[in-house]
Amino acid sequence: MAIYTPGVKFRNSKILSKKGGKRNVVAVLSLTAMVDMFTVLVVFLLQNYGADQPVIFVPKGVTLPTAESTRELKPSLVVTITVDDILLEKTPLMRTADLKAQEDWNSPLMQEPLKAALLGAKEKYESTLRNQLQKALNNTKVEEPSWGNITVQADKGVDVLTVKKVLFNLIESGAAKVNFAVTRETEKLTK
Amino acid sequence: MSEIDIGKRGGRTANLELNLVPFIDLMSVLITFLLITAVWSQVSMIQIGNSIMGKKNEEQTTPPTTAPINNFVLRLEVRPTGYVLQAGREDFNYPINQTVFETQALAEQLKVIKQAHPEHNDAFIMITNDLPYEELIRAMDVILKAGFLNVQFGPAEPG
Repeated sequence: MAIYTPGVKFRNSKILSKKGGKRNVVAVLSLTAMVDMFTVLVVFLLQNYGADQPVIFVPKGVTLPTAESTRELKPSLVVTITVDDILLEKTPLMRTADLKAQEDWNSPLMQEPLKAALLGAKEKYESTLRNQLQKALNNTKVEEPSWGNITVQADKGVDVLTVKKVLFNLIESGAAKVNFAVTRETEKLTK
Repeated sequence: MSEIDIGKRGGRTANLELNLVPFIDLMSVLITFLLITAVWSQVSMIQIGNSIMGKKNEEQTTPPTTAPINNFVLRLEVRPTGYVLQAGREDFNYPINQTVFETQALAEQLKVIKQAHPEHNDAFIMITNDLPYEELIRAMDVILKAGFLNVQFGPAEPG
């Protein structure tokens, strides 16, 4: 019967047991699984990455309604209607409750900054080299100007009357096309 | 690191070591960058038809008129009591089911109408002012899905 010295034994471990003698212990770390996982993650994230898609700033507290038949978002001026405020880009224009309460749909508080912003967008559009070239070449197939486009992003709980009044003021300010920002909903599977 | 056994060469076993450290570094940086810049909620848009809200000096209560093809006008009224669909001379009522609008039934009827009038693309929505904006988008979405691509929306409330 063998006699063992007292103390903790690691008989089952190849590394920690002293069977290896004086040789150096090399612990091999298998990286295959990690590299596989990284590769799958990178492929998935690259597939979902939309470099050309304009990112719209959705303020905190604004929940956009969902819709299925949507179009790609195009860069334009953004008017946000929250439960509390109406904003042009990130600048507050007026209180939502004030617009809802007033009987006259015309609101100079909204229209003046909107007109200035649309004018700025027009100048910026016309100053681009591509548009100047188109103008110089007198090309008949001139693209529809995009400076007059306005995207309205409203909280889904805002009442329709406020949205109607905002739209009215946008049109009065000279907006050409108005789009509603929505969260894209994937199509449900039909039976 | 990772070893590849390429068999025996000159009596010795040749092991080729593949250095995975730069690869893992690159992957880590890429994953971090992509996760930070990822847009998880896909925001897109619904376009409204051309004639909305009218112009200056027009009466606000007058809804914009659509150009009817063969005297056919598609009009959807969204009321707190439910949907009222007017397609030409026919009227369809979809009363609200407790608190839920009968969107599915409306969508099926709109598909039938679109099959009967494939050349018609215009639709007009009238909605009660007190309803939430979400109901307007839902109604527009149903109409767009049915194939009526020019959805117009006016200031007037359903009468």
